[in-house]
Amino acid sequence: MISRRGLVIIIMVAIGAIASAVVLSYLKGSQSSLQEEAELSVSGVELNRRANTLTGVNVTSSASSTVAINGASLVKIQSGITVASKSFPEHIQVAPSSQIYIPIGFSLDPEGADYFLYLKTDRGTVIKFRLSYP
Amino acid sequence: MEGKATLIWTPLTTIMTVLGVFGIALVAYASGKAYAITKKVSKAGLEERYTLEKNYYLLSTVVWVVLVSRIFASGLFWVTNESLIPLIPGAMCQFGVSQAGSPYSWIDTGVKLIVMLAYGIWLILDLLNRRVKGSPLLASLSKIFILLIPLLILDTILDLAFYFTVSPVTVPCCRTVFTETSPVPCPYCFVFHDAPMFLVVIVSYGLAVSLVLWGFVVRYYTVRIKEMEGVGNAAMRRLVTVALMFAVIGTVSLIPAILQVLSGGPFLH
Repeated sequence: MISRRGLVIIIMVAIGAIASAVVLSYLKGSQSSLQEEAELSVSGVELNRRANTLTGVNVTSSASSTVAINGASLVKIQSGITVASKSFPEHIQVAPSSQIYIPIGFSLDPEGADYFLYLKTDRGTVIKFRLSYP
Repeated sequence: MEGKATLIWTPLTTIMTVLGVFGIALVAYASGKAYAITKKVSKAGLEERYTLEKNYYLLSTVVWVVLVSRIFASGLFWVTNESLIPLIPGAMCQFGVSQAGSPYSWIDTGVKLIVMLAYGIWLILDLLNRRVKGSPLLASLSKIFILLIPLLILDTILDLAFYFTVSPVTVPCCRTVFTETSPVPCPYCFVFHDAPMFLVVIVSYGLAVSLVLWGFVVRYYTVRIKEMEGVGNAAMRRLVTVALMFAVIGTVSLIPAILQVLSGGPFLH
């Protein structure tokens, strides 16, 4: 009696452990497989330290054509989890060799953490920026 | 680590300290009684055995108080450490709190992960012993308690050492260890802050495994002591049923836990 049910329990726990490990490796893999944008970069960030918010970022382009940004995600490095994300229904157009301010509005951990901010472009690439808070 | 070292006294660290002192005092009292019972029980005649049984009931009550208070303290340990994060400069999660109370905090964390499993063995066997006429596990329970004493002392002493050491010094937190190149995330950030549903999964699975192991211990005594057969078999069935229930809770909770982790971004996951 105990051995059969006990075996079922051990199998369930093992499945849970394996599933968690697969999810963790998927999280790592999904971030490392992103192709980084070479011609656009985040040149500055605006933080609201009272509200612990990433208010917005400045993006500088050295591209020869207009690039559209259609989404943003914030990944907490210590946990590997995407803690906030948004898409821009009206894509933000970044003109060639220009700088633009993009409002973000992501909450940051008041105790502090390191983050990767990803901005997705219509080229299928991402602008990656590392942010340490506070 | 740098800064002026003054102890941190909060209601929770005070409760942990009181539980530690209380635990040490009761363990000291109970260990003498347990030793006396263990020494006398094998040679005891009918009358002396009756006296030992009466002494054992007192011991049993004290040990219940000690073990239940330690199990409560092992849960409160995590809550207390979480509450200390804002009070320690540089701490972003419990990793930073443990850094501030190092090395006791790290050993204490390891001990806290196994105490429930160890203390539960004694509590389950004592519950069964109370249901069987003649206290057939009297000698075994006294011996098991003596075996638990080093763990109990380590558990309480580490709590006292940790909460008497932890101070608001500037600490390097998990960001120094868990970077983008780390193969695993910071367990404290992951479980306590960003994916708390995994806490339900871990606790449920931990209880399921503990209950199964307690079931094996009950089987060990049921096979060897004839008077235990009825009560022991019923207890094993109940333990495994409850274990199965917790395993199911853990597995079911895994689904929202994984969804919580994966639902973060529109394009990353």
